[in-house]
Amino acid sequence: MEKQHSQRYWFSIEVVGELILLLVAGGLFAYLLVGSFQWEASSALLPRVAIALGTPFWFLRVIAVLKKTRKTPGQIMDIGFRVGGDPKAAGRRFIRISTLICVWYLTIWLLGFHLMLPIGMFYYLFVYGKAGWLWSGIVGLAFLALIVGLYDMGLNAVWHEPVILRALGLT
Amino acid sequence: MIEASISAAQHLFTPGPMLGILIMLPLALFSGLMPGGGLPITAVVLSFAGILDPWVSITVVVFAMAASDITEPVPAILMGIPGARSAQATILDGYPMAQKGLAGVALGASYTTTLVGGIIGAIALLLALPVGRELLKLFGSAEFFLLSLMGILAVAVISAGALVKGVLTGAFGIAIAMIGFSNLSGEVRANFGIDFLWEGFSIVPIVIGLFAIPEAIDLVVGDTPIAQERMEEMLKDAKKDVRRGMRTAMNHKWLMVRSSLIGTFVGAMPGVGGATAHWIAYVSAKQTEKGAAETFGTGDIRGVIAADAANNSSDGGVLIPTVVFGIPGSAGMAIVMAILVLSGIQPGPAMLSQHLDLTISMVYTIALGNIIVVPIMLAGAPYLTKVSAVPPNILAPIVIGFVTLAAFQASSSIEDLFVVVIFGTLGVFMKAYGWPRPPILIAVALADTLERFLWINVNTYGFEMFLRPQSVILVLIMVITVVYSLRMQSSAKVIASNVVEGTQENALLQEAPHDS
Repeated sequence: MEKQHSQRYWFSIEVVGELILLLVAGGLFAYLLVGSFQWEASSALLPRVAIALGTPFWFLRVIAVLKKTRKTPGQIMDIGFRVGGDPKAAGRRFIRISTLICVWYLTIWLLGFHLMLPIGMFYYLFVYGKAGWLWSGIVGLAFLALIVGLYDMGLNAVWHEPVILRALGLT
Repeated sequence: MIEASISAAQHLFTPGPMLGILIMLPLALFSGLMPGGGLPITAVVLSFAGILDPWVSITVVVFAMAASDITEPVPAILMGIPGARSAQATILDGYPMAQKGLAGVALGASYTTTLVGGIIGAIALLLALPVGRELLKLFGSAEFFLLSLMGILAVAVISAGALVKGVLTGAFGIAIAMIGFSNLSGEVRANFGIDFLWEGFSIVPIVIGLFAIPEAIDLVVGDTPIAQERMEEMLKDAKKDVRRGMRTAMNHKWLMVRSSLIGTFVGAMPGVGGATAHWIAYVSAKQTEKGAAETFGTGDIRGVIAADAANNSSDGGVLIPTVVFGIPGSAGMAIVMAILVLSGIQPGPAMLSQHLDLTISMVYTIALGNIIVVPIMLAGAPYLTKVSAVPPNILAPIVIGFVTLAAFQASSSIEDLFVVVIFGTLGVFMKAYGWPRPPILIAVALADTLERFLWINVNTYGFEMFLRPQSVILVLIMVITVVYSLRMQSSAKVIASNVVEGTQENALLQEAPHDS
């Protein structure tokens, strides 16, 4: 029973997730340290100070996670996500919104802001916000008006060339 | 000082800043009323910082912060949901009052104390500026380096009440800021072989990724139920109740003044900021007010008064370390600092010499925010509160749409959207595991100053920079501040840990919150 519990702990999201976070921070420290040997002294100084400052605390955190001495103190500035009464449903909502943001950004890269920002807005409001055709359309068009009115006409904004439109010779 | 005060007024009351305030007013009201608070909307202003005059961008952001802080008690009182940083202690008594059908009274008291607190905070800031000016004359490059470094560390140590994670995040933030072009040697550092990173990460997508995206995701994940019907019922006699709340608040004027002073003092502590101030004031009132030990947490209006007075007065307080030392006391102030940097103004000492008028205009803006927004909230509370009932799945895409445009337009670079995704992922992980996010932002904003002063000091003084009397005093002050702040937080944290999560869940389940 104890063994099962322990196994669950090691593969739980609490451990794996924070280890990923620690891996990112540790990886950046290591990358900077290796690189710093090729930089001039003036450029290498602060990165090394940051690494010297952060590394002991990095190890302390890794040990805390691996030794299961992690505490969840009352966070005042970062209070974590609100999962409510059904963590599984919250998990599904999290995956859905995260995926949608990534897909939305990808389509903006492929097809451009003018097309995909209003369409993406309309899609989300209509499908997930249940806002109905009219309101979803109004908000989508309001974003198009914002892009054209404020950014294009007011600020003479420079946009990127959408990848697909460029490939089709439409830009 | 008098000249600068006049110049500040002359600059502030011109069409540019006034138009900015007019445009920001509905956005700040709307975003402040949302569960999650007004931080994402504040971040949008960052994208315009390079285009707008600093007088306009700084005014707009400070106004937005003040305005959204004023509106944050609404979701706290009506639904038991805290804002981004403030109004958490307000829930303890505000939400039980709403459950008893006294939402209007709680809102009336909240706005009255908010107005008093905001004005006391602004006056305190104005009085602190001349003292800060004299203090800075004693400082040299060694002290400015120490201030920058300790600013990052102080925020890191205190901000989330977790020392190890805090300092690690501070160092991680400096490491992130080191990616790209070095101003000292002109070489490119650690760009992962990606051309786009030659100039390092732009601060706008970092802010949006770290703060706005995780908050938008949190809205959807939390999926707070809509309490429209209950709210309408509660607010049936709201106008009469709001007036009753105002009178009750005025009957507790000393509690208001005392809590406002606590808010200003705690807010002025580098790194502590407004996120803690309202808890300290609440705990203090609970310990000193007659019979409060039994009634606080069950719907005692004095709990609302103490929390909200401190909450709003801390806005003036957190500006003190930001403008005097360049050490922001909150995430919002870190954004103000970022805007200053993008506008070509170095936060810190110069704010009290070359840009004193701009600094004083911030004081005026906070006061103006209170004077404009509080009457709007008092008059329109019954109607404005309905905004709090906007479903998360309608609000979230709108917030994401705005911040996406902002992230791209800051440097017209599509790669910045990928930076948003990277830092958004990082922000989500950090939020989930309670790693404080502000130190990263502060480190990125201060990295240039920190690196320049470090190099100058190493070449000029070597290790002797730590032995200069001013440096020793500074280090001691910082250590005492950190230790004292940690002690104060420990009492506030006990309540926060029990109540913040407990009340949120209870709000979702429509049950009564835990008693403190």
